Amino acid sequence: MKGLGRILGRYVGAAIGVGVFLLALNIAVFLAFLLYCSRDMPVVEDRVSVIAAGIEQQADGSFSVSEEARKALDERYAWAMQLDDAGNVIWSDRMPENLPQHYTASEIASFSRWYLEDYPVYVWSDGDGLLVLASAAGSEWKYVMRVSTYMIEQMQIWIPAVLMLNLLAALALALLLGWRMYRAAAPLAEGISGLARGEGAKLSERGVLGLLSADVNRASEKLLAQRTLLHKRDRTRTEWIAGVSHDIRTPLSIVQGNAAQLENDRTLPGQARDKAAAIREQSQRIGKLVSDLNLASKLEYELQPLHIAVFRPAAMLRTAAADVLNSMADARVSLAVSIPPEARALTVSGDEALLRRAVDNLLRNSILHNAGKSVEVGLTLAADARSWTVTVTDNGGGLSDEVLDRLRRPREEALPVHGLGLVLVQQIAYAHGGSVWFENTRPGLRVALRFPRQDG
Amino acid sequence: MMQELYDLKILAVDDEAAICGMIREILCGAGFRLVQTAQSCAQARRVYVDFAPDAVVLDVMLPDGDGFSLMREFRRSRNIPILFLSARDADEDRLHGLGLGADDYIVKPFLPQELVLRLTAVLRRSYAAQLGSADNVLHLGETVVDWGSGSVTRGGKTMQLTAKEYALLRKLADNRGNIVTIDALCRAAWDDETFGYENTLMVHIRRLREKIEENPSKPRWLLTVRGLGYKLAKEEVQ
Repeated sequence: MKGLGRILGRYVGAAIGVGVFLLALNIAVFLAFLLYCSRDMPVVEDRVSVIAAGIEQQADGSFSVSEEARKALDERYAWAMQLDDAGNVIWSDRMPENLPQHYTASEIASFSRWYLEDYPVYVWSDGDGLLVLASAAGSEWKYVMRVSTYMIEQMQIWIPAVLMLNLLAALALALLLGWRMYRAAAPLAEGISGLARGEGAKLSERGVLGLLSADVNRASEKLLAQRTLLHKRDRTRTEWIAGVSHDIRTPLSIVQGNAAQLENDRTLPGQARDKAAAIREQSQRIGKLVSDLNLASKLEYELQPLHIAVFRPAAMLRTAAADVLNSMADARVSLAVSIPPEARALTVSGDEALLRRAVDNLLRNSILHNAGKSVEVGLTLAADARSWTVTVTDNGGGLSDEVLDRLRRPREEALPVHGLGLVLVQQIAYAHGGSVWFENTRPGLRVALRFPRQDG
Repeated sequence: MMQELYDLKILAVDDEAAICGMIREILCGAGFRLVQTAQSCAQARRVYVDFAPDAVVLDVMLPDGDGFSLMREFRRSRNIPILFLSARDADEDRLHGLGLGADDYIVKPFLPQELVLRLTAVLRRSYAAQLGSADNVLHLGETVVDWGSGSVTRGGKTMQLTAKEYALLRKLADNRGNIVTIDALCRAAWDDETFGYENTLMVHIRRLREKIEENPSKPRWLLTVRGLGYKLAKEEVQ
């Protein structure tokens, strides 16, 4: 439900924004309308009073119209008349001829409320009687409204209530629309984050966002196809390497086996046997390289299954050391294994065979790179609450700066040309969530393999 | 019927003729007298029937099938020891993980002495009861260990080995000349992975030395490899 709050918030915000905008727009348009129409506004009280005041009955019974009143009359009204209290027209201005000169009380009551022969009229009572001002016929709409006091009182409550109801309805609609939008978008978002995680997406292509879903589906298919292709290519490469290494091992067996037989043939001269020994040693090295390459390519493309099990690192280290010593006849190599009492019972989980391979590679590296010299190799195990560490040390020449630099750099895409054995150590450590640190101790090399402790 | 170790019949199966020839040479060089080879499953089946081998050295990849199913086929008629030769790491995984019932396996390329060592160890284990006395003894200088009776004879005196001592000495003798780790010895004697037998192991090794060594405090045969385990020294070649 992540993001629902944000989507709904946006929707509510937008709804409020739209409401406020519409309200402001309407008020503005209304005001503009009023302003535009105001020049045609029918009755303006003060002007009527001006006209009324400007029409005076003289002593001789005739009427005089002041200039101001004349102007207002001409500007605004079609005609005007003055009635006396008996309903007789005592003065008139441009009055149409078809209108009567006498009006009864009921006629006066009627036209003061409605129209006088279609003329909208305005009446004004003053000392001289009743002044009737008429606008052009059909120019005005006139209505007299009667409203109860109760209704006026109620309107004070109802108008804000209706406004509030409008607001609530708008909010509810916004929430509903937002929720529906979220409902429609949620699978889409899920599909996209699935793509980001590298999983495929298969969304329903119906509904409002159907087209978008269809695009996501296409993208997913494309990505999956590409990944399958890449995976296939990696697999092909690894299988190719496995095939080649298999093909190399068979002739290598023949070379190595025959060389070893010659080496042990006591009827041959010593020199020939030494040469056979050299052939045997080098073919063993090739064999080791081939198997390192094979494993490295599998680890690189994650095609090597890890057989994770609980084991004792102490026993693993002893086996690795014994294997190395058993396969080497060189008395100049000394290998000291140091496992402190507190680390003897340590149990961890991991792929024991792979980890032993890493240790084996380190031990053989120390011995082979110092071949012909007397070399002291140390193998130690240490553990604390969170990790366990295997350290291999030697007193030989160490690594060249170039190799050391490359081993310390982040992992590169391609496998390196040289030092495959040590890169394999790195790969095995990484596959176990561990780390490796190579360090020249001058003299010698110190390699520390550190792994997190998952269980003990 | 009592027989000698080197009279046991060995069948080697590998698709490469050169490897077959080499294995035959290695085994004959080591003293085996009856070695036959085959280069395909079909040929191996025929030889298996005619020659009735006592043990098979079997390549995993064969032109007309794989060694694993051939092993199952052979085992259906007789439970003979089988040692695999493998050129693929993937086979190693299967041999390791699945417990197919192979007695041992060797990864190519291999050394002749490794093949001989592994094969003789497998044969001794499988045919201990049938082997004649000549093959059923271990010589440590003047000391003679008789596997059949589990006794040690030194200077005219015969001592009996305890079950644990027997198991430990057997393990060391099977890997003679090589270091056997403390852990492997504990596994051999107690058939258990549990940690905590190391001190007991030292006690048993001391008693074993008292029986086989002339001077137990200065052992000549059963040597300690500090921090790792023990080693049964090889007979020095004159």
